[in-house]
Amino acid sequence: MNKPCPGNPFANDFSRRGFLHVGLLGGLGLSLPQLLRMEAQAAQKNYQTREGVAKSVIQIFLPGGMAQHESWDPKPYAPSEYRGPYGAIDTAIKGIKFSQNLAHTAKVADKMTIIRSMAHGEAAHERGTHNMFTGYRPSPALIFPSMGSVVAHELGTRNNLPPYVCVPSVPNEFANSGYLSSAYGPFAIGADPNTKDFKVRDLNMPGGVDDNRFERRRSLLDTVDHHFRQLEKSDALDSMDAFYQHAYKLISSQEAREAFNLEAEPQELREKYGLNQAGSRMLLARRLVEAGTRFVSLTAGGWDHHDNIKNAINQQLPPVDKAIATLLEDLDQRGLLDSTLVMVTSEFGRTPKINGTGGRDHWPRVFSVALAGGGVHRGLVHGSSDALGGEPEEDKVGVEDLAKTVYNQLGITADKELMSPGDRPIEIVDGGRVLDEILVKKA
Amino acid sequence: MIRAFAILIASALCAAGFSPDLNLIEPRGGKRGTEVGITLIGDRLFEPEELLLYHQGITVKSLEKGPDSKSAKAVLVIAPDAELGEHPMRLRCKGGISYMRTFWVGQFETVMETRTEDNKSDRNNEFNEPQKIPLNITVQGVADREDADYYQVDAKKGDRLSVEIEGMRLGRVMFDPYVAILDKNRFELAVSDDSALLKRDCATSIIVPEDGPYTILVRESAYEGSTACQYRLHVGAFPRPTAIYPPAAKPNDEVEFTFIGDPGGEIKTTIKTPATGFAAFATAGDSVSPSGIPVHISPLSYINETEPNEGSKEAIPTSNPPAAPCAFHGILSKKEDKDWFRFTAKKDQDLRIQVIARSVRSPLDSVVILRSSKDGKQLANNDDQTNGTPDSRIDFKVPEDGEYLLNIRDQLYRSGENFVYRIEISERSPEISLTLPSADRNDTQKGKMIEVPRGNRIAIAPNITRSNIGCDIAFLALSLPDGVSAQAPPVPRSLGNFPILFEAKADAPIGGGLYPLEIEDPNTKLRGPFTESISHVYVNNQGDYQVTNTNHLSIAVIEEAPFHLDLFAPPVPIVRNGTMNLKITARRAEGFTKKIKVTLPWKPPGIGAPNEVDIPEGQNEVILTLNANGDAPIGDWQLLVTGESASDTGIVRVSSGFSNLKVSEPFVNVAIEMAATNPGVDTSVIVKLEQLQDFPGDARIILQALPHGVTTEERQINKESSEITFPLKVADDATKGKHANLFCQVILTRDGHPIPHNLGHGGTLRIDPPPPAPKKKEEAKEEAAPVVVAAPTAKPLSRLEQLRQQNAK
Repeated sequence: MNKPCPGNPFANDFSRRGFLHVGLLGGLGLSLPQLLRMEAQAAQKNYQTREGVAKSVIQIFLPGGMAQHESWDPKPYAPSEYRGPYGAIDTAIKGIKFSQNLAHTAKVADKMTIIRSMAHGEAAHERGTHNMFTGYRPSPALIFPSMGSVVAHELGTRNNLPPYVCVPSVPNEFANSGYLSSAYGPFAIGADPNTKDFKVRDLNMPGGVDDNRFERRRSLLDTVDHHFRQLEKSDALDSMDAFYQHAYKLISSQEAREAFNLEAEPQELREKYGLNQAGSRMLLARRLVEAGTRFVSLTAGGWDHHDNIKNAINQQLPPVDKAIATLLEDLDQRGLLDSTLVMVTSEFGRTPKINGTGGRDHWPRVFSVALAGGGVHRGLVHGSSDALGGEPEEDKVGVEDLAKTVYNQLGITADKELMSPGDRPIEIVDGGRVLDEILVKKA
Repeated sequence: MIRAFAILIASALCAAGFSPDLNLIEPRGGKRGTEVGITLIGDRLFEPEELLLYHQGITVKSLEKGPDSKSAKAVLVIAPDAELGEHPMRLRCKGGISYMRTFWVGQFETVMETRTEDNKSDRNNEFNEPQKIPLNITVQGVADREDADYYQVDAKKGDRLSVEIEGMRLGRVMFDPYVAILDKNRFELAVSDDSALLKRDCATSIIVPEDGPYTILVRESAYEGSTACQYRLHVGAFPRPTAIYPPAAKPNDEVEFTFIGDPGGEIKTTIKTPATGFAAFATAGDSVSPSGIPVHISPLSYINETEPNEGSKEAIPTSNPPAAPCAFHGILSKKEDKDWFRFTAKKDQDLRIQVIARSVRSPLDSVVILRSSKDGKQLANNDDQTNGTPDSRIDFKVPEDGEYLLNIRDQLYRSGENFVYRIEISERSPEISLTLPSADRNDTQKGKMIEVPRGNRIAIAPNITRSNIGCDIAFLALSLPDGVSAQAPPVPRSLGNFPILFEAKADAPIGGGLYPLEIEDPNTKLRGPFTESISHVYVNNQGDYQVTNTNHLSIAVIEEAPFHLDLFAPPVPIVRNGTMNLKITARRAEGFTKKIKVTLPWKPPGIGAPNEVDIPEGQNEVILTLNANGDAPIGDWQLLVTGESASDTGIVRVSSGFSNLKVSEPFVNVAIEMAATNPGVDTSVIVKLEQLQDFPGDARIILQALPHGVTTEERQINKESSEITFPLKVADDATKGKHANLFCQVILTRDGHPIPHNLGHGGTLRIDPPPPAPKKKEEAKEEAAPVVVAAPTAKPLSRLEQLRQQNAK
């Protein structure tokens, strides 16, 4: 007999009694789809959120696939065509080396956990990105929500700030709310905080609109909405409503608006982060987390270094290195690091061997992820790759494991099922395990 | 002598402008039988010397430099019989050769699209305000962003009105043009976007329904043009067929061809065929189609299909089928057409059945099925085997003497009068050819011009392709510019590429040209050409949109480079699993201090090296470390390096001379025995040695990749050593875990030169957590001491012996 797919509402055989039951309910005006939905909901695995160790997450995503050799997992003893153009330096973790390009981060490595044995099988950018943003392999049957959207769904807003913010914009299609209502989608600030006249889109009233006019517009919108609501019930309307409510709260809350104001930071600290793309974005992420945003996702640079990785890393990594190191120090000094999980990820790693044009190509079979705060160990390397950086050698970690660990630290049980279209309950993360070995304080 | 060299170079530094960068030739084309003044636009166009022309039909009347190094001017004389279409050329300056750019020859006068006075936009953006043009004219225009260009032409009822655009073919940017012929009421009479014949370019043709004005609309197909989206629009009464039949012929034969697809009907013409493939141009009256249709040339005898042949029983020819090798021609003209053919073949013939359709620009996307005539059983089928095209290909070893059937159809059962094809059944023959490797994934021209500075050297490392043959390769006598010699050692059959080193005498005249290059298998005397496909428009992961193929290398003697490179390989071998330091020195001209990037254009098999190393600014030396893997073939190789530097006036590249590299077996092999300990407990690692070759004196042996907190000392071995022990000091905070990447570096020395070996990879040291402390002190006294790994004794114990002893206790 075929084993039914998990979550299939037709999985259980109908008994005669059950059939009668259905008929009975039908007589009472309950249609079969309604019944099935109720059954599905009743069977749905549900867990209350817990008090998380991590109150917030800063996801620093380095798009394009950053090379493990030139960052967290150098191979100083490998032959030069594997080792790459750069050397390795000591870090604050005894016996652990980073690439020489991470000189600043190396000094704060004792605040971090490095996973050197991440692996998944997807060598295409969009598929790898999907894995790292959702914890799922891509499926033609379902659009999965990003971690940020699940966090928004499960934990909601805090201090009137959007729970899930993308800096500067939604980085890819997988950072959205997937099968969840678009109300849980990311709030994109819409402008790069590194630009001189940086102003968050949608935070300020349009030019020439004063409070009275704004109120008039709002009541007019309510009238229109009311009209539509009488005609139709749809997620789009609900989520638009949710957006407006968020927006009203944001615009009317000076405190919330201030979270986006980089000018409020001392110049000295801004310079320490770096007056550049990476520095500004990470500083803004810290401000948002401090103010109450639950999940900040930001990108920095482009890491698809098929050609001349030497130049590309030399140009791109130093500002990112400096900004990450400053972010971790800054969070720690403010007492926020233990409650903020910082993740530095990429969609995959890069080939162990340097190619003919001096670059490295896509390599999902092993790569590295850096974590800090939010209950993970301070100063730990988990897992290892082999001598050439081509395969996991010890403690292979899958995307499900990573996602489950992140959710766990936020107080979300990732085994919980959320309702997807077709009334089909889907686990937040399917499979995987919480990586207890990297946690010093488990939620 | 050195001083004289320095002075010579110093003077050269003032004048030389390297890597001339030719971006654009304006205007983009001209009328044949006329003289056309052109402007060559680019950068570093110092001292232009010559235009290198790939085709006949154009001569250069004059060439002079412009007001600055960003342009040059030339007058071209286009012969009355110059072939219509693309004429590639390069600009050779004293400091180098430019990329290939193209100039287009047409049959009509060229006028420019009218522009506003400030030249910011054109003046023909409205249907009601078109640019009026006469019939039989070429317009050079630009399809800007959201730009629609309207041209109005008067035509007579019954005449042919044809338009054709060279857009993507101009090879400047990604540009997909669209053209439409509109009547006076703005109704479309004909439109064209893409076509099998012209790819992304377009052409269409109508018979004019009534006297009056007709408007021609040109735009980018998605309104996403730019100022670089230039086009040449031909408007005239020329024929515009879309196919030719037969699509192939024998060389030097008189063949009657039929042009198909012109609105005026079929056009028949008899052509004396040349020796190789060519483009056939349809003519009607005084005018000729602006671009030709490719015709394949092959000595195979062929049969043109005759209808009906839709079924196996009607397979052509119904009697006396030809013996392979042979060819068939046909057109899939009827709805859901299928054509069947019959041929005979002998057992063990190694045949290639190749469809030639899209490669001669037929719309057909072929599918071919091969069957046995005896029982109708399918033997093979194919859709798109031919690289980069939808043409089908079957490689087939004939199982038995007999008759075989082929049927062909379109993949989507499409058909049409221009769905012409040829099926070529030929014996698979060995082929060899030569290409230059790409230095950049997105730039097929980079680094492919051979520019030899006077008194200096430059190397290339061409790739060799061998099909159906494994053979050594020899370079046939190279024709070269005066004063240039080449070292082109024969290429062993195991290698796919190998360097050729060009050297120019110090007094070689500045000069150059386009030179063919041929290779040969010395045994069979099989010859193969140099081929190069230059992509003018290329999109990563999509491929080429406009390509020019050539069989010529561009080679020139250029002005002196500001540095020479020398490579010094130590006179000792590099061993398998070993390394070697190559010393590279630069001899710089006085005043030249720039950084020099050094690469290996070619590496022997099994030899690895960093992609590049730099001789820093102001310095003269760098070390490049080679490493040999465990399978590197034993033997002698010729090695060289190339240096590249961005001088103030462009990029210049030179190579070192060849230096010998010997790869040999290691002198010794090692096996590292597994060791285990606890933090704070010293231990030892035993290394077994296997002597493979005698070596003089002592060699150093170093245990590498130890974890944090573990240290040891360097030891010595000699040719008698069979085992060596490394005492390990293990600190209390030594990193716990399994450390499985230990290896030994063995450095022996011969004649003062080190021969480093990296051996025993995968050696393991385990540092386990300390055992738990005893629960009670009293009990502990009576119990045996906690089991810890034994500290090193006079005779170190292997891990196995340690475990045995523990067990005995």
